[in-house]
This record gives sequence, C-alpha cells and structure tokens, in this order.
Amino acid sequence: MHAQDSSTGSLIAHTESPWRLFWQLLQRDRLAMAGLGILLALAVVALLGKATTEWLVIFDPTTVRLVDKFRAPLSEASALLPDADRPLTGVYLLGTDELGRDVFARMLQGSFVSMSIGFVAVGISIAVGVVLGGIAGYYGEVRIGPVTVDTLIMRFTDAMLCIPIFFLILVVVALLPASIYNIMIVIGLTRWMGISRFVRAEFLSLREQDFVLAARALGLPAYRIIFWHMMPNAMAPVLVTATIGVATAILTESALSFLGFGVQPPFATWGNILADGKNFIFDAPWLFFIPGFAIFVIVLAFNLLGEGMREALNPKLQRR
Amino acid sequence: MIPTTARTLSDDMSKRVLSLERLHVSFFTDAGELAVVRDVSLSVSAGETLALVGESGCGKSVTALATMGLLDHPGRIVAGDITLGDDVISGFSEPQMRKVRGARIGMIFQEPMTSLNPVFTIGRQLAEVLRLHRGHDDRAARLASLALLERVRIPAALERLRQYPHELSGGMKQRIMIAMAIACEPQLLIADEPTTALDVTIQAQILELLDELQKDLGMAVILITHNLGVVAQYAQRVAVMYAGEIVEQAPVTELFADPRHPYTQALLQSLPGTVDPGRQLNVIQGTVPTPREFPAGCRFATRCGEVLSRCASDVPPASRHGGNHVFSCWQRMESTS
Amino acid sequence: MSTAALLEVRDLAKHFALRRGLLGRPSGWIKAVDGVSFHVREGETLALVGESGCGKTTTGRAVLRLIEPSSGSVTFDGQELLKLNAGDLQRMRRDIQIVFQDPYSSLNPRMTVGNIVGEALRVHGIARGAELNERVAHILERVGLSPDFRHRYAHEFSGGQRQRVGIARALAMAPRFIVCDEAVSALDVSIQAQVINLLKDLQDEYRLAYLFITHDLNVVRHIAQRVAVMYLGRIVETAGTDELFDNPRHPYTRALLAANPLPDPSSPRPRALRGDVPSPLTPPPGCAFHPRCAEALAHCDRQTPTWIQIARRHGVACHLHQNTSRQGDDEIPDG
Repeated sequence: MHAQDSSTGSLIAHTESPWRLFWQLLQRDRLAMAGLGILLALAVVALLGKATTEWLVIFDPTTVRLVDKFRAPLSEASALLPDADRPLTGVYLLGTDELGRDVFARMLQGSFVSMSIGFVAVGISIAVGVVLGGIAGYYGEVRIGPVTVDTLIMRFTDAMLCIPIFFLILVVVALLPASIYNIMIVIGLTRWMGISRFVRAEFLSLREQDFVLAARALGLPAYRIIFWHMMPNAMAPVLVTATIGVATAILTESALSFLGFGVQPPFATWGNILADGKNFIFDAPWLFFIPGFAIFVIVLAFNLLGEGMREALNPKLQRR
Repeated sequence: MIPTTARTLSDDMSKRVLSLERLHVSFFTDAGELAVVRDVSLSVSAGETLALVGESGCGKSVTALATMGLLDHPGRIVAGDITLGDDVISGFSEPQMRKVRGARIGMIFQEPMTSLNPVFTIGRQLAEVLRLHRGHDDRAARLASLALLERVRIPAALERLRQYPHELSGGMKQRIMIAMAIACEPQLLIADEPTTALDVTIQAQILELLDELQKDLGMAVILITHNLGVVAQYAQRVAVMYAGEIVEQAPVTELFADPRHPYTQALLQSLPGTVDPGRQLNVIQGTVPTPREFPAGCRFATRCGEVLSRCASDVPPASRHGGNHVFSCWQRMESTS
Repeated sequence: MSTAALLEVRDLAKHFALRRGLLGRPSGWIKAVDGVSFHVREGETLALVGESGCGKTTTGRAVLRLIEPSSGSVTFDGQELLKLNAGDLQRMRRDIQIVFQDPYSSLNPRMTVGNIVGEALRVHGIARGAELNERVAHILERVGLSPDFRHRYAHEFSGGQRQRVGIARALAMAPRFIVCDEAVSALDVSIQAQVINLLKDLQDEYRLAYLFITHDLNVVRHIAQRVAVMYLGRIVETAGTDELFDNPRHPYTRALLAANPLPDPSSPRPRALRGDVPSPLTPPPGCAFHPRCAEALAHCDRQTPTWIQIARRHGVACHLHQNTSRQGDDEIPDG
C-alpha cells in the first residue's frame, strides 16, 4: 500500500500551507461552499439588520399599527396609517403580526440577535473547553492532593455531561433576568464539555508526537509548546465542532424563546417571533413559517459547512 | 538485441502459475493520467519465490494490487494481460475475481496489526474464510481452523481460536494472516512486505514458515520487499523495480554477483555493511521522482551516473545477459553487445 | 580512548505505573528500563540495539529527561542531569539533542522549515532577524538542503528530506551529543545511505557523540564504534563493534546476529530464534532470556546473571560466562 499512498498523495498540489490545503479541499465540496455562501449572506443581512433597525432606523421593528394587524406578506399598508408609521415602500414584505409590527423589520433585527447569540455562546464554550481540555491534556499527570489534575477536570466534565443541559438552562434563566447576555453566557457555559474532551484527547496524542518531544528537547518553554506547537494542531477539529455548535446554540435560543424563557420583548429573535406566531398558526401562518424557515436554513448551512470541514480535514484526503 | 518478455524468461512453461505481460497501470487524477506502472512483465512458477524489490513508490505494491484485482479508483489497468494458470484474470469481472482472491491467490500484508478485525475472535475470522471459499459448516470450519493454526506452528491452537487480535503478538498475528491466506491452498501467495513491521528474530521465523509452507503446498510466491537481505536469503529470482518499471530481472545469485543495471548496482553498493565502516557509503543522488516527474525515457535517467544523451527521451528495451538475466539500460546494452 | 566519558549513565531505570485505580494506586509496574549503565565519549557512537519493547527508546528519552527516569543517574560533562531544576535543564538541553525515527510525525505540520530549524535559536535569544536567517540557511545547507526551502512546509518534502530537516533542527543549537532514535530506519535504502553519510560527516566535523538507537544490525556495523545489546529492559552485552560481530558471547546476541539476513545469497541462511519476546509486564524470573535460550542452564530461571567483564572492552550478563570472568562482579560496562 506504500507505493499507492505516496504516489496518490503527491498528486495534491505542492507549496501550500496546511490551511491553504484545507481551503482547497473545502472548495471542492459544493454543499459546504453553498453553506458558507448562505452564512456569509446571512451575516451581511444581520449586520445590515442591526444598522437599519437600530442605528439608522429604516425598518422599525417596534412600531405598533393596530389598523394593520395580521397583514399577509406583500400586502400594502393601510391608507389610514400616519406617514411616520408607514413601512419603507408602503408594502409589508413579510406581513405584520398581531400588533401590526412589520415582520420583515423584526426578522432583520432578530437575525443579528440570533447570530450573535450563536457565535458568542460558542466562543464562550470554545474558550472554556479549550482551556480545561488543554490543561487536562498537558498537565494531566500533575497531582493536587490525592487526585491528578486530569481526573479532577474530566470528572467535573463528566458530571456536567450528566446534567440534562436544557433543564439546567431553564432553571438558570428562570432565576436570572432573561437578558440577551445572560442567555449567551448560560448557553456558552453549558456546552463546552464536548470541546474539552476533544481537546484533551488531541493533546494527549499530540504530547506523544515526536515534534512535541523535539520542542521539549530544544528546551522551549511550556507556554510556547502549548500555544505554538500543540494548539494549532488541535484546533482544526475544534473548529468543526464549533461550526456545528453555532447551529445548536441558535436552536437552543429558539427553543428557550419558544418556551418563553428566551430573550424578552421588545428584542426580537427568530425564536421569539416563532413563539409569538405559534398562537396564530392557522390565522397567520407566515408568522410561524418565516422564522421557522430562517432557523432551518441557518442550521442547515452551519451543518453543511461543518460536515464539509470535517471531510476536508480527513487525513485520508490530505497529504500528511 | 531482441525485446524480451516474460514468456521467454520462465524455464518451465508448464509449471508457470502467474504471468504479467506488458502490464501498464495508470492513475487518473485531476492532474491527468499518471503512468505509475509501465510495461511490467514477469512470471512465477509453482514452488518458486520471486522477489519484487524496490524502494517506496516504485510501484511494487500497485503491481500486486493490480494482480489481485484490488486497484481502487483512481487506479486502472490500461494495457497488458494477467494470466493465472490458464485464465486471463485481468479480463475477469468483480464477482469472478472474488472467487479467485482468497481461493487461488492468497495475500498477506505488511501490517498484521491492522489486517485483522479487532472485534472478532481469531476463530471466527478464520472460520469465515473457510465457510466462504470452501463451503464448510461451523463444525468443519472449526476443525479446519485448528488444523490451519497447527500448520502455521501456533502453539495452544485451541486457546488461540477464542482470543482477540489484541491479545496476540505481531509475529503471532502474521502467522494468523498466513493461515488465512493458505486456507484454500492457493496456487499463488503474494506477500507484501510481510516482515517489515516485525523484529529481526520474528522475521526469520515468519520467512522460515513461508518457505516450509511453500515446499508443502507447491505454491508460487511473490515476495514484495525493500529488504535486500531478505531477497538474498529467501528468493530464487528477483525483479528490481524503479519508478514503476522493472529495470532488471535475474536469478538471485546472478543479480547479487553481477548486477547489470546502474540502479541495481548503486542500490547494492549503498547497503551498510558492503563497505569498510571507515568509508562513505555509496549513494544514489537525489530522490525518487514522483509519478508526475517521471522522465519520458529511462525513468532512472535523472539520477543515473552513467547517463547517455538518448536515455532521457527513449525507453530502453529489455536486453538479455546470459540465460535468465534481463535488464533495460541503453548504456549497458551497448557495452555488452 | 582514554578521554573521560561525555555522557555517563548508571543504573538507569524507568518503571511505568500500570492502570491506576480509583485512588490513583498503580495496579502493577512495567519495568521498561531496569538498571541500565553505559557511557559515551566525545566524538564516539554507541549503538543501542534490541528488538521492539526492549526499552531502547525509553532509555534514549530518559537520558534526555523527555521521560522522567524512576531512578539512576545520568551525568553529562560532569553534571548530574537528573538533579537539575527546570531552568538549568533547559540550558543543558542545548548540548543534548534528539533525532526521531518517523520523518512525518517529528515535524510540526503547521510550521515552515525555517521556523522549525530556527525556533529554538530565536526563543533562547541566541539569534534574531538577519543573523537568524543566515544561521538557518547555513544549517540547511550543511545538511544538504537548499536554503530556499526555509519558506516551505514539511509536508512538501520526501521522507529523506524531512529527516534532514529533523537533523538540522537538532544541529541548530550546536549540541555535543545527539540521541538518534531509529533515525534511519524508516528510510529507503538509497536515502538511508545518504543520511548515514551525513550523520558521519557531521560527527567528524563537530566531534559529536551519538547514542544510536536501532534494530538494524547492518547499520550498526557501519556507524558504531561500540554496541550495547538490550533485552527486556537490561543490557545483556557490550563490546566494540568488530568484537561484538566477530565474537558475540551472549546467546541473545548470537541469535540476533544469526537471524539477520545478509544481502549475499552465498551467506548462511538466517536461523530463527524460537518464541516471542515476553511481555515486560511479566518478565521471566532469573535471566529474562532463559525461555528462548538454547543453552540455558538449570539455574538460569532462578538467578539473575550478574555483569561479567570478559575482556577489557567486552562485558556480558550471562551465566554461561560466569567462570570466564576476568574481574569482579558488578563492573560497569566499559569499552
């Protein structure tokens, strides 16, 4: 098999850094690139949404128009409406809700909130997971009293894994004020266990790799070995997990909002738009389907990209 | 100088088990067609051991996989015939090949650690082969497994049948692999680097066992290796491969005593132990070219010390030196004729 | 040969704890290295030979304290390495380097060749900027690589070239002693010859001492001045290279030499040694080799053989040679 490995391996382009190589492989995956495209588009939408609903209010998500309740998408605004309350083109692009608020404007505002919850929560869980997993993996043998650092951290991780996370979040959210920041922190602090186990496992195997031993033999300080030699080699699979994690975090936020524990009005998130819409599912189905579809698309896009990244990192495809 | 193929090489046509005739294998990639095996002709007779020797990437494993019909995408046989007994197996369909593999051709690999399935017992894996190819029922398969383990000199065979691969040493696992390969008494055994992962004392055990089994069963053996010591001690004939081609083929004593091709000569001279320790080892400059960099003519031209002007552009024909000694080199062809 | 040893190892042992229980108590010990003594002089190559699992790699790493030894002593240039604190150890490590077997896993895939070779110089503040570049280029050239390779990643190179990068990294700190852990074993024959020549050239040029860990007896014969043969965590025989090959005394050494296939069809066929290497978890009592030994005596399975110096540069641990002892027991292997 030797011969075949080396000859097929060398067919992949030369003079590339490992990240370039990864990018080249990822580009070949059409579904992943579609996912990436959708995410980039949604990111632009989210930023524009933030700008046009809060800083320079073009689409006002908060205006209540009692004359224009439950308008279907693409219907025109009522003539009775004062000029200041009229939507930008005089048309409700995605209809209105039970208070006559413009769903398009609310979705725009919600897109930023939903995505930032996803990213910040995952950022927190990566930070916690990488630090704990890294310590457990690198300093695992060090003892504190009768137990090793590794045992301490990993048993704590196991304990966290035993708790039904969603109910823990519900309890915390019920006790704390349900601000958007609390939601981010709570989701982030309850989703790091997978990452820490991952990083620990990577570190344990990297520790035994000859290039890490060589770095130790060169007398390099520990921080440099951890952050320069081990971390970049452990990060690739973590990024894959994180990508899929963003989707999970967005779903969690939606579920919380759906149950009424999420981000509270007047902040719109896709989850609470969906939650409000559920009461009118037969009278005004767009209130339900529009945020539902948006959540479906973003979760799908993150998962496609995550799977594509996992494939591109597959050592069988990549030359060592 | 007549171009020579495998047909003229073998002493005894009636005993010939396998012959490759002008085999070409290419990999079809995004970067285009890569001719990883070019014009390979060889044959091996019953009871004979042919060593296929070369460095990594020389195409020796690809040649073996092509023979087994196990070439995976993007590899494909583009020309040439593979004949096993009276059958041209290169034309066989996959279902036909499945009946050939394991039954008429056995194969053992380099890594005994990964060649066995870790979740099944040894007994079950052996029995599976026997049920599949010999149609044994459970009881018959069990008895046959026991006999096989004893045949490959595994002590406490009954106990071994109940064990899992991880409970056995590397040498023991390689014996199990051999037992599976010979379960159907194949005509041909292909051993791809069978002892590379093993210690030298275990290597000697395994090669001794292979030798014994060959004598008992009258198999033809193709021994793929990079270890010239193993070649010298266990093969009757040698084919030296470089960059997808056989550059020289000869009986083993003749190859070591009178190598004709510059690559073979350089390879033998670069072995530690051939020169006085105080002196430098002879080296072949540079590295083996990747398939994309293969020269159009003689593929050794880029590293050869005695290169002629025509070497880079023209493929050297096979020329004979004595009865069974064939090599492909412009320089040597002219100096001998 | 009268110069003092550069590296002196005495009674080095490394016992790995096996599977800790709930309270972290080990349920058993693997004696990977069990009382190993040897020395290496400046400019000299000592080969450490043995089969997989004999503890040769662990010994090499314990010498560098990449694995903390359980007991024993390692003195380098008169300094006891095992007593150094972290800071002094890091300074000492400039003098002692290691080259690994696998040219793939030994280079960080996310670093350029220039960074791999120059990192230690920069981190230790030895060279910076243009001077660093110049030194890296010089070292790369010295190991036979183009200085232009600085900006490329290790995965772009062949195994032989990667091994040269590994050697360049070890050389960067201008060490005096290098542990070569199967440094040429993974390479093809023609590439192996290039790297062996390079290692010998570098040794002559810089008066380097090598601890050359390998299982390949043909390589040993070419590169080493002295050989120590290990079996199951202990050294069973040491001698000058020619003496060991011409006049092996320990039955294991003889078996090892007899099993080695020589690239010469007219040489005698290898003779196989029976049995497998026993697990280091349950080593046989007495002489660990006795279950496989064709010449075992009645007491070999009870008494551990002591070290016997049968000639000035030739020592062996075997009951067969008990009576041929020239000097007293417990002599340190000398050469």
